[in-house]
Amino acid sequence: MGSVDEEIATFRRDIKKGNSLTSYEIALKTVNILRKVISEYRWANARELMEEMKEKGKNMMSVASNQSTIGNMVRKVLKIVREEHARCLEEDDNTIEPVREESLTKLYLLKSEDTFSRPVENLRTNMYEALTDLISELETSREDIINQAAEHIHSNEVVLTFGYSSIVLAFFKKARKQIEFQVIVVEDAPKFNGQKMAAELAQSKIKTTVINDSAAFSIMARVNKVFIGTHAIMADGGLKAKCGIHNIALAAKRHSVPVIVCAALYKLSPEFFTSHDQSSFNKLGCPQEVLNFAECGIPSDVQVYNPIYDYVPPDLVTLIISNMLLDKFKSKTFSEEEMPQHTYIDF
Amino acid sequence: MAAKRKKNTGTDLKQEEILQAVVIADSFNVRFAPITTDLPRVLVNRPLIDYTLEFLCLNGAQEIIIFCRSHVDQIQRHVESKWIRKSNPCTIKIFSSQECVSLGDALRDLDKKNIIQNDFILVNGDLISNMTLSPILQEHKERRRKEKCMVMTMIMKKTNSPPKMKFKDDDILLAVNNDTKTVLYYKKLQENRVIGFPLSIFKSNPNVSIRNDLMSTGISICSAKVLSLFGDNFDYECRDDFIKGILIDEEISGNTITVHIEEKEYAARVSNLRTYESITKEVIDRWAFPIVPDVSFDINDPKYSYRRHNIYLDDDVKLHSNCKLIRTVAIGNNSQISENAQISNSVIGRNCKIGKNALIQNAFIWDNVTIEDDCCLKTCILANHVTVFRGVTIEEGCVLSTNVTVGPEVPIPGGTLLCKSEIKINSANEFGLQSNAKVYKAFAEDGEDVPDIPWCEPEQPDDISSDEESVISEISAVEQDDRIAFYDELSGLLESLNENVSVDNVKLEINSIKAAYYMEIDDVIFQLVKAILLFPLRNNEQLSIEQYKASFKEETAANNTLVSTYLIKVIESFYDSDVLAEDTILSWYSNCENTDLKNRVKKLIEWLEEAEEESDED
Repeated sequence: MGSVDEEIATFRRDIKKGNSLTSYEIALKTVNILRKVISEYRWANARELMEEMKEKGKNMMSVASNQSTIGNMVRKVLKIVREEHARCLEEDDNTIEPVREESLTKLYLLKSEDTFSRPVENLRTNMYEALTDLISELETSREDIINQAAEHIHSNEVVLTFGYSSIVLAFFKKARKQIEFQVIVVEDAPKFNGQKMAAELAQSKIKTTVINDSAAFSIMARVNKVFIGTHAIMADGGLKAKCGIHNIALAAKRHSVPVIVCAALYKLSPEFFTSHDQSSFNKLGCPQEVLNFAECGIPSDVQVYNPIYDYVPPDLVTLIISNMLLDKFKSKTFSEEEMPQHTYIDF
Repeated sequence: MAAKRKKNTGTDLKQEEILQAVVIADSFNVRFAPITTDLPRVLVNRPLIDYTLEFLCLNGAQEIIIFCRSHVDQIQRHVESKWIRKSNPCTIKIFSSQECVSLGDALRDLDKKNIIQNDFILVNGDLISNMTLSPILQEHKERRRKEKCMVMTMIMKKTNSPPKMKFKDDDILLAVNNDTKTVLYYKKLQENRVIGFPLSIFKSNPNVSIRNDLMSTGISICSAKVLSLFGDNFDYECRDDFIKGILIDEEISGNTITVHIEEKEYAARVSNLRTYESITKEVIDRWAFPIVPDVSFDINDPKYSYRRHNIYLDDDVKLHSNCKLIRTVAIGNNSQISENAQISNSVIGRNCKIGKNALIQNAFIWDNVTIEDDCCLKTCILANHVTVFRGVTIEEGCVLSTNVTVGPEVPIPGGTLLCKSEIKINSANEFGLQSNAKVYKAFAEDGEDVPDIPWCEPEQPDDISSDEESVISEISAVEQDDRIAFYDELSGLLESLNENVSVDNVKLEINSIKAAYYMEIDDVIFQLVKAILLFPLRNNEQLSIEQYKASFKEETAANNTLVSTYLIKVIESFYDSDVLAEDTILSWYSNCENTDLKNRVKKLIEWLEEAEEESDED
């Protein structure tokens, strides 16, 4: 096993290289690396540990600033450090007020006293256990989501999905075990991941239709429900999803079709969408996918763009299916919980 | 695949195969002079070598060997500070040698050092690419397993630029076997638009494609044998020599080269000023994604933020609210753009100051450059610490080297290369009162011939189409020069027939020169017939047809069975092209005493007589 640094380097390389990693894998890898930090680094107190983790987290995030999952997981782990520290402190020393539930005021008080510098016993083992719990939570998250499939898809329904999403695929496969339904897959140009999705659905004996992106509106009238995956759920409850999903969501709204998002909790992100920051929100991919460079006989004055994400406003999202019971109105409070005391994007 | 085991270990332990890469970080030419005399090259505010190293690291190279000649200290310092660190999983070694003047020398040096045992990636230090090599490496290994003699996989990129847009270096003609991907023929076209292919290519390979739409990426996956081949052949200077050598010796040594043609991913070499310009723009326009300014190679890299229209700004860039960044622009840390400046398709380095009303198009400005008010810059490179005083216009294709100052109020004509003059210049400098510049004179190092490629050539109407029509189907495996030399020798040999040298000896001689010139048998016959037919003309070019016929008959036809075999064809074609009249042929036939010849041409004569009779009947 390589050291933490080496693992981070490999991790960065994998992310940079592209699309082979699902956000589930990224989340798992991030927590694993941070767990290694606990055991492999020298730290005397929670503050030093958090500094170390922040540095590693920034290193991992610098490779893809708009890859939300890494940041989400780093914040989650930092939150666990604070909680564990508080709990250990409480066990150590009964003089201070027990901190069981975090609240903004208490955390503020904690910080002002700088109790994180106090070395506490058992923090190392407790942290290790807590992160192992988090990993097992991540590992079961998919299972928890797809177990709800039968509640949301009913017999002979026509559902629509966009592109390839591993969680949606698993969700449909699970539902197919009990009922029969039809799936329409929007192909997701220019990557055409939808075609891969359709192929895999068809293998699971699900009736599948592929349509091109522009046909989504006209076909929407026949659809009962839209199921999509997302890259992240933003602080306002909106989605940072694949480019093209906003169109689908608007079409669904027009036809009063519910839009249901399958997303595990690691997709919850404290980012806000601000319109002046559109460009840093989005990520632009290689224009090669849109227009083949070798074939491109057009003058160089033409610019080719290939944006990766769409922002879908919260009012277009009907329901979020997650591994914990959660509806979209709760997400705001959730982000507060995730993100005490730090600026949003920088942790 | 089992790694090449060291013989003396004698155990079954497989040596763990690590992926090695060799970077040749010197272009061995002076195309970027005068800038490169002081500094390594920079592209979009990053040293060029970073792109190559990033490419190799992304492809999982475990050991990178950098071979450099110039700026060794700078490269070493940079690589050590940035790439050699604990967190980087690959080890980097730097070698340098001042004696090396070509790729061949560099590889021979590596061969002596004996540090490469396995297949390795060979790239140039000016490569920018986002390719994924692992499937190609896999393919290479598969092929090597089947075919031990396959020594190298070249990676070529498909392009669509019309021939006149191509840089001379890139105009490659390649014949490749589609089934095995083996390279059968490789030639740089240069000016020469007339190409001959050896017939054997098509005879022995059922599925051949001939391509002129490829561009060399400079990436090749080589087996360790390549190094020893370079070591054995001291005349291999560059990759082209190597390829040519392998192809010519193929029958002897059996070594082959395969090619991988990349259609999708990006790969290009910054080999001259024009590619520097186009690649810079392509990187900014994200064609090389994830090699783009806003994805950092490393945590200490500048963090560019992306803005609409492919504009990238580093931290602390001060933009006046009235300046215009049109599109495809990258601006480095702590630079300042003043009022009314207009910038498009350009790169501006760190700590630069751009004055009011400046118009900057296609300009590549490195660090610490000051441009005063009312300047106009078009298609140029300004290296570090250049100062352009007020009101200067720089026309297309200029290169200003480190510490040069120009202006105020002067125009700099297109294509000027300026470097700093060491001597104090009097006030009447043509580049302005405060200028310290002098025109850079290109000099060839060590007498090597440096093709000078001007940045901006005036567009010439291309008359290639007419040339293309004249491409003729000559059958030849060798260069035109060789063929001419071969022909001359042949003619000389025929001359010796007059001096009573026996035919057998001449035959022997012909066979030996055939081997000396690597001629194909088809080619020999062709040249021989040509020599024989032209033989009478060698001494007197104004022979009449009658004389020609006479000498032809006497000297050649009778002596050479080969020609007599083809005599019927020769006469027929002479007849068709009105060289010989019908009557002449008939009278010659009736006078001829050689029955063998008569028999051979009998058919033709019969046909001629018949035709005559028919026309008589009419």
